[in-house]
Amino acid sequence: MNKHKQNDLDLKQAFSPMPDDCYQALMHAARSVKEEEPVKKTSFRMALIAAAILILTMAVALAANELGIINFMDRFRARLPESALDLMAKTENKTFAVGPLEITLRELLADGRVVMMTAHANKADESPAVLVAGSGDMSDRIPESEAKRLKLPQETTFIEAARQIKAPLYIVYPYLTIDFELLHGEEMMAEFYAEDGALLQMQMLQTKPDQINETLEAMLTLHVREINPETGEQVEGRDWRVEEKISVPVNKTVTEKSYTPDGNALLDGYTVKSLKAEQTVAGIYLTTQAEAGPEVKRENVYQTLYTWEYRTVDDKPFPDGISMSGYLVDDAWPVVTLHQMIGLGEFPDVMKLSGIDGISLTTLK
Amino acid sequence: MDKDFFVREIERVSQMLYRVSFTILQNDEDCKDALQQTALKAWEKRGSLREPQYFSSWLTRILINETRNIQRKRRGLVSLETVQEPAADPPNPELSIIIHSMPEKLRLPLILRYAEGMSYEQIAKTLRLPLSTVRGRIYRAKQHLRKELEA
Repeated sequence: MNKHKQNDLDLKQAFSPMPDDCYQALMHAARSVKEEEPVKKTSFRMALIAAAILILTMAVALAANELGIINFMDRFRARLPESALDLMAKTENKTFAVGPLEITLRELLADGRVVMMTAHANKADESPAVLVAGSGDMSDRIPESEAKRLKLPQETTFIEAARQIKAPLYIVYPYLTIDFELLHGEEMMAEFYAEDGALLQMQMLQTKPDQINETLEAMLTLHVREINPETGEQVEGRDWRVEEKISVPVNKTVTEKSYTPDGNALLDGYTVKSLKAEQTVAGIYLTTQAEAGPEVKRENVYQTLYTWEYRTVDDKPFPDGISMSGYLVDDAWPVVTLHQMIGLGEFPDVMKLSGIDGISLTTLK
Repeated sequence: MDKDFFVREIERVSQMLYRVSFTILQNDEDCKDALQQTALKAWEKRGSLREPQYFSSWLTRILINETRNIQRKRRGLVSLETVQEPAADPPNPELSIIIHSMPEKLRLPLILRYAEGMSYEQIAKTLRLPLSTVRGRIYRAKQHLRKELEA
């Protein structure tokens, strides 16, 4: 087919019309939003009261659990340097009453490239309740820990669980909003349930490092809605929202180190040219440049380079970093740039790079 | 942003939102979840949109984040129960097969450019990619498409 004919192709023809249930779901959600939601701006006085509540609750919370960002690390097979964990632990915990729940801003970390937040929610009066993460869905299955706590089969959904234990169901959505223009890349949310049913949620946003200053102005929103487990509908008037402006300190310190291949630089048909490592408080961002040889097919670039892995001198993989910044740029073909992150607090002297077979190695010093 | 504007704009771009979600998720059930969550989150986060003229790319960005969250949740959870019935036949089934068998990194910018009519700059802004990367991916997607159509 010639170029003219290709340009005439209507790519919409590759899609079926939007199914009616998708359209209905979208429009139902759009129409269900409320114009005048009860936004409760936290005043200085309220912040003082919240701080007082915090003093009362913190000891209990800390004694009851040690929930934090660390709980997500194993799940993502990732690691944060000790210094980052220390910094996050120093976050001034603030607890807010949001309807019948208490939500605590637990941890914050920003290095200019990512900003991370964790928030912990539990029922204020400790009466039974089922909490669903804002990024989740009440028709999802409950996690193993909740099945154990509520003594229910693991295939039970959140809404069924609330129905069975005759407890209210709350959708809990704590999140940070920053200026759209400062966002770079993806947003990620994840949740973790403690054994006592408390819910820890993590949010990570990618930011544009060149546009982030020493502090990042953000809006913290804590939104809770009560759902009637019998109908799946929101209970009238049971919708609470607290908003507070916060300034997230940004630790922008970056140190750099360059590595060059030592000996054999050929890996999977690519010549590894250089590796730039940039250390921030959150870990080490790696930028590898390689050039494809004439025998390498460009269409295989993703399946090859996404298997490349940095390893220790003892040939063990480094822990992954927390950022979602792993990506490949190949628009300067045959030169390709691979971006990865490893969860280390200091530069290794030597790194090994393994290829698609997991055996071939290039050493970089 | 008031509710009338919000609902009207969502309705105006609804088909586009469906095509973008299907481009990534390739499954109507997941698209339904992504679309629903997108509308709710967009309203929640309406404060982050300062310029209403960016509504479409802002909303598309939220949708892409939702599809990523769904992909993460579904990863490793595909079982017989979650296999979906195929959607109704698209008007051009041959084109559909070619498009949906492309790597997503090529497919998504191609669809945003040639199905949704976005400029390269808008795509770069929406996907948070350098302009040169967007151009490169669309170029490669077109090459792939041409090769497959000729085959």
